[in-house]
Amino acid sequence: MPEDYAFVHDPKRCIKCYTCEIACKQWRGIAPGTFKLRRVYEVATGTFPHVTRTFHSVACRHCPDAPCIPACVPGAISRDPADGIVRIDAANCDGCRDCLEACPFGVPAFDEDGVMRLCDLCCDRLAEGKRPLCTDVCPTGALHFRGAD
Amino acid sequence: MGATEARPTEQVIPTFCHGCGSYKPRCGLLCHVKEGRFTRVEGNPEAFNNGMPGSTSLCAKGLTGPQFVYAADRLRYPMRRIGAKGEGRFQRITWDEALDTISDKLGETKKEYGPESYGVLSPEYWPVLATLGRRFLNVHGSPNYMHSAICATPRMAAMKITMGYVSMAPDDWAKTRLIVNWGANVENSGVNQGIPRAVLNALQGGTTLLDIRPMLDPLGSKADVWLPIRPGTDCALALAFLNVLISEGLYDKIFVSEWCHGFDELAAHVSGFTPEWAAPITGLAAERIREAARLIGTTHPTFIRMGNGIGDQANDGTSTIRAICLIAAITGNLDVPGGQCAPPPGGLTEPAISTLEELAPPDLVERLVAPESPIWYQAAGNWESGPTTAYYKGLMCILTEKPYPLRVLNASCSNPLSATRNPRKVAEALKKLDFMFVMDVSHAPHVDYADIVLPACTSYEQDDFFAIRRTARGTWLGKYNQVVEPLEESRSDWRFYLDLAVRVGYGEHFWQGSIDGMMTEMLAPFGVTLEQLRDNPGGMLVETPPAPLPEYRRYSLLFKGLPHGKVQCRNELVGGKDDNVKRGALSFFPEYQGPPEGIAETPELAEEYPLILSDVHAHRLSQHSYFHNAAYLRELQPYPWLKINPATAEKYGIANGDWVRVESPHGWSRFKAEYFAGISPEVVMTKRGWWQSCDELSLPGYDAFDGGSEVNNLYNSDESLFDKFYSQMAKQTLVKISRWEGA
Repeated sequence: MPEDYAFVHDPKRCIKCYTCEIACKQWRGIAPGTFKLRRVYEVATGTFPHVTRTFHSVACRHCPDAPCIPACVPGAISRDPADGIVRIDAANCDGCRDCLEACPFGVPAFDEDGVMRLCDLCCDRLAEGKRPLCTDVCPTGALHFRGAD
Repeated sequence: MGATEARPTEQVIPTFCHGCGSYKPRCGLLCHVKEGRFTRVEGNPEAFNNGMPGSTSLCAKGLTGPQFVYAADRLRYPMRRIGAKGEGRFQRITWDEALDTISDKLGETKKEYGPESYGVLSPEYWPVLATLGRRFLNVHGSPNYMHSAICATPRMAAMKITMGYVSMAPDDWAKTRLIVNWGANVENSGVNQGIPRAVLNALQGGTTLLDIRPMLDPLGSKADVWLPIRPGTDCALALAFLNVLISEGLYDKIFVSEWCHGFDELAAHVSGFTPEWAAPITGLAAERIREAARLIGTTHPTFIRMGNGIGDQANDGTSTIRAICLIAAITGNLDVPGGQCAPPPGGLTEPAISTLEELAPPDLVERLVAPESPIWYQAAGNWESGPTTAYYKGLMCILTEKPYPLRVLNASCSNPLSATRNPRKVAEALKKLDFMFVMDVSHAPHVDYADIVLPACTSYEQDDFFAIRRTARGTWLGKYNQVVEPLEESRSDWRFYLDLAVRVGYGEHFWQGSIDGMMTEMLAPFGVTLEQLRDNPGGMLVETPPAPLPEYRRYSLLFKGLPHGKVQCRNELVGGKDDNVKRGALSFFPEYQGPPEGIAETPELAEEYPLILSDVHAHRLSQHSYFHNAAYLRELQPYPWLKINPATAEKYGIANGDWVRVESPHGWSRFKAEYFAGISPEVVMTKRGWWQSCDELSLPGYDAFDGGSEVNNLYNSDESLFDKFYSQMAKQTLVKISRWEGA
């Protein structure tokens, strides 16, 4: 992720409400039943009644040293020098999923055509001085965006 | 994709979400419209979402608005039934024909059977019904507002008769040292309504959380103590808490001596209800019960959030809430900072009009077909907007004709095949009605039993209402704005009620059908004109006197209406008086009744039906039984689910994702197994209402009757077992399960 941008998620405040996940889908117009650029998931351990549930929300972290970039043989993944956002050039993606192998967070998602899709930090909103919508709508204050400011 | 290039042509229109049901503080939205189509949503920072200035937070449902508007199962035109009831054959008609037919029928039945032959199903606290609907009933002369008996008012009444006031939140959660979340499902029923966030803030500040619910729900997973109680046995636990608190002296002696009536009799009443007595009923170890009671007795201040699950959906809900109020009282937590506070004094929080009670017959309450709470209690004016009949009992009077049958039913935006128990009997009752009309957004299953069907528009397609927020700086008023044109011939519910009133001949009491007239009356208390509101489509702040500083321990004021002006440890207000069926007397003390079918309650039955079944009622991805048609929500819960402990599932050879046949003594339904470790091996839980299909995902809807997926098909519906004060019904039964091989 660009040094000055970061998603910050606090599992202690997350209640698995799916607000961020749906915020992303509807803002980007992603068809239901297809892929997710942000995903809420749960890790449950233990047996009744000693059970621990932890909730996570993940999207592309735009890592400063993004392992998906060198892993992409066709060179479809790159960092935009203008804003530091990691982007996918859909026309060059061959759907090999090497990026998924490389990503330690299991983030890359694939559309109906097998093409990798990636969070763009709601760059349209950033340009207007707003935050990515997923962080703007979180009802419990679990998901934040640390912006360039 | 390609959002950036789309933006210049997008219009952004503020309005409000109804995704949590229309009685909650509706969240402010900014709705994006592109080429006449509602495309996407963000939060409106002006609208005090989540109770905070500047907040843009929303929830999953709030972000799904366009899918509600463009759902395939929307009703589009007024229709007349041409097939048999339940068959689903209709013919398109005009609004004029529909209104004339309803109006004629209301006139005829009023003349022939009396005005009380008209009943209205209440979907929940619904502003349209609480204002225009109630006014219509009063002008027409019927008391039969058919309240669910499963939501909020039973709990509120039990609080009022015990401690004189309703307490749903502390003055400030940050001051609370112990939060007891008891049967309250706030992370599902109001994700963005302030409470989940406030509880999380309190936990970060060091507050302890005790969660008492059958499942380890998201907030429960952050609790310090979780008591996985057997569904429906909370009254036993509350009595055991009282027993420990009193026998160990963990109560506020000064408060008790000054402000509690009948404490010694209460002490004698609970002396036998030890943790050892409650343990085999609740499924909790006696020592854990004792520890939890001591935690409550030694942590101040404590706030107990009493939820729908224990107060409104258990057939001894009144006793449960009475007992819990007494726990809060004797531990000195009533109306103290961070404790069981009374709401601050203040003005309106909902737009209101006079309901014209003075025009109703003087014996209105006596005419109730099936009083939800005792006649004497209702006659004293103990209600939110007027008298109420219990929803299920009122429907059953159609079949029994005792004391008389309802003839005409308005079943709008409430699907009685999922909103109450026993859909099979409900369907029989609907078939027997002389006439039923339904105005709804969706083609819900009960629509098929209607004589006239009317298409309602969504909140995104009308501008006939406004929202109110009380803030530190004054009152904020926000108008609804039409985001898109109503679908086909759909209309707002406000428009319909006014048109019907005029048609029936009640126009003089309904501003001669003018929405502007109605809105003007609603705005009057704020000193705001309709023109001013319209000139401020993004909302406006009205100067109002600053909220008074909180005051505490207002006991002489709060207990004023109670006998002796004290908390009713021995309840002289209701004890010995008629119950709601006039067949017995109400008890002076909270009494454990328990579910009609339970492991401890009916051990013989438990041999054949060994598991306990209940349901969560509210869910963050649906609203009552609606919204399974919205693809973004449905893809997260595609099938009717059954949370089951993996150990139990394996015992029955049920794999994760298998369909399960769930059979109770009353019927059978099927659900898909969802392995979940956070539930007792002796309990399974589901969610009601799966009738909607989702065309976008090619997912079906499921029937309410045997073989379908409606949990209400499985519960006991014997009216003699309902709560004798507020008609609450059990939502707990025993079941046997097996892998379902059909489909």
